[in-house]
Amino acid sequence: MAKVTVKDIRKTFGETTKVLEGISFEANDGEFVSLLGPSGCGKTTLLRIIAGLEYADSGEIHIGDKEVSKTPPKDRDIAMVFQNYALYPHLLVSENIGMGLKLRKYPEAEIKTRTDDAARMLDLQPLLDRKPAALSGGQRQRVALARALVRRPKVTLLDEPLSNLDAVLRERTRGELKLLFRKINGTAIYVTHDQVEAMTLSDKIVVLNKGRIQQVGTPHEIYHEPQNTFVAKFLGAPPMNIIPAPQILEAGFSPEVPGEAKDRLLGVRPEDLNISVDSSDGAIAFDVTLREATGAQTVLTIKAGALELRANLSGDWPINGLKAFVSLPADKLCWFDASTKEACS
Amino acid sequence: MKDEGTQVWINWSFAVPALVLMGLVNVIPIGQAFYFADGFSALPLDTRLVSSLKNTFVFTLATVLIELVLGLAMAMVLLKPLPGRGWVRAAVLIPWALPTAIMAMAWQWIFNAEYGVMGDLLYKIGLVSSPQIAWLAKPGLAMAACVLADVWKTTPFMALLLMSGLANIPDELYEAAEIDGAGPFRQFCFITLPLLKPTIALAVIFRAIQSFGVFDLVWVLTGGGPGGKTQMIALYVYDTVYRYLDIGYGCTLTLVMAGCLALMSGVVLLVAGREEA
Repeated sequence: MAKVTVKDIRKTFGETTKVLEGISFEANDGEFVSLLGPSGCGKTTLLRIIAGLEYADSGEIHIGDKEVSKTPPKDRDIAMVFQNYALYPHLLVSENIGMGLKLRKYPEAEIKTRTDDAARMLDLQPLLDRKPAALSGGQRQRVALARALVRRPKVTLLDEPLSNLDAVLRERTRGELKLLFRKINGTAIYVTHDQVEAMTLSDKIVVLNKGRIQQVGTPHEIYHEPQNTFVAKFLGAPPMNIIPAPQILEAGFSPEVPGEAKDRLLGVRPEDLNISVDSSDGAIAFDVTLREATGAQTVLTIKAGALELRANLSGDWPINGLKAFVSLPADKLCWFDASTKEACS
Repeated sequence: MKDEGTQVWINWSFAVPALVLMGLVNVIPIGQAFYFADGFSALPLDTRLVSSLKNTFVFTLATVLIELVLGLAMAMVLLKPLPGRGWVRAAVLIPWALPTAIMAMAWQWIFNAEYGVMGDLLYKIGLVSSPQIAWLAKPGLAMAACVLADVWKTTPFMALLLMSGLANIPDELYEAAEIDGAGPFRQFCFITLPLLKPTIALAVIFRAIQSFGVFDLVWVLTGGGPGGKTQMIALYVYDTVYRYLDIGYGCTLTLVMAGCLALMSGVVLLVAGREEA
């Protein structure tokens, strides 16, 4: 296992399409780091640059103590799990798992031992004599993981490996993945656009947008202390309410605004709003315009004049509750600069 | 709702035009060949049949093998994202688009013993001592000339077939192999060849059938000479039916030719199928 250091990586496709602009972050030894961002933000390109499948225009990649920016993929001691698994369709599961070792000329006995170990770890023993076409999506995904881990690489790179699974299987596999990487204590860099995967799996999240890093931090920091409105809105479902401060004051709320109100945006998570069917001191009355019950929680869309908010409640909301009384949680408010959209320190 | 029997009749009725056409162009001529065929007992003693079969097998084997190797190389190059790839693809396909008889006449000039470009070229690069080479009059050289002309014309077709197979191999497999430690040669051996096998089998069968039935190229280039050394089975059938007007034996030879083709296709499919399993 090893630390991965990415320093000021820049990449342009063609003459003008800037894909990555000065990306820097570290994945410490044994850390699980997710690259999170919307489609087209450059996260897969960054992963491919770390893998050596593409080369950056400038910047450096270090794996352990070694600079590998110009090193071919096979000499970086990495393994990669691809989005479509990239299993060799003409080979058996056992041959797929052992291929990396065979190509590196490991002795047959060691290939067999390691293949069996990986198969045992991922519960693949009954499938070793099958071809990939005879496997389900989840089984293929496990074979791809086994193929990556059998070489005991310094770093495992995973490119949206769960995106082809259905919702139930994805959730189960996510849990298995977390346990697996905790068990092997391996350094992993994981690309996803799914915030739930990033939040649940990662020790650290790198949020990307339009080729730039928006924030690097623990899942808790990313969720509760977003550095800008993009991160605030990208994480959370429903996303954080971002409202111009003057609109909040007009509605009757009186939070302590840091600086001039016209220069500030207020961010508040839907689940942090204090909301009740009963009136209380300082609470503002809102009309409930939409009630979306998902069983465990209820999402309300509420409106007071021009101000519209979304609130997320655990449990139910009375069906005849057409009025909601809302107060702001003073200790859970985020403030952003209205022009730069960056968090106010 | 129609009952199942009615639906089956409706389905068959849609197939009738195609079945009638197939009957007219396939079943009836094959039936006629069987009906008119005679002289089976003469087959084992027919030395001209043996030599034309030998020539045809040599020609087929040589052309298909060379075209497979060159076509695969050509297909791999044409799939690379090179500048002007569209133009190169179009240019490469030109020989295949030319009418065979016209192309054969051009090759006749290229191989002309006195003024041919081929002899002159080899002379200028120092491979031969004289530019005057009787390409089409010497037995070994005549066959080589036929093979070369056919390879030049038909390699693009082979490349086209193989390109469709190559394009279906996902790039991710090569990337996975690259990370696993495979260089270009081992990627070719471990991924390209095994995954291309069904396409190769199909391409080989297509080309073997075409090559085995070669007529126009050889007819124009050598006429089957010198001394019958490039006489192919199709030329022998033509001579038998149209020159000697022996329709019965011509039909028998046609059946022999069809049997050889069926045998060759069976072998290729068997080999490809066994390795696929």
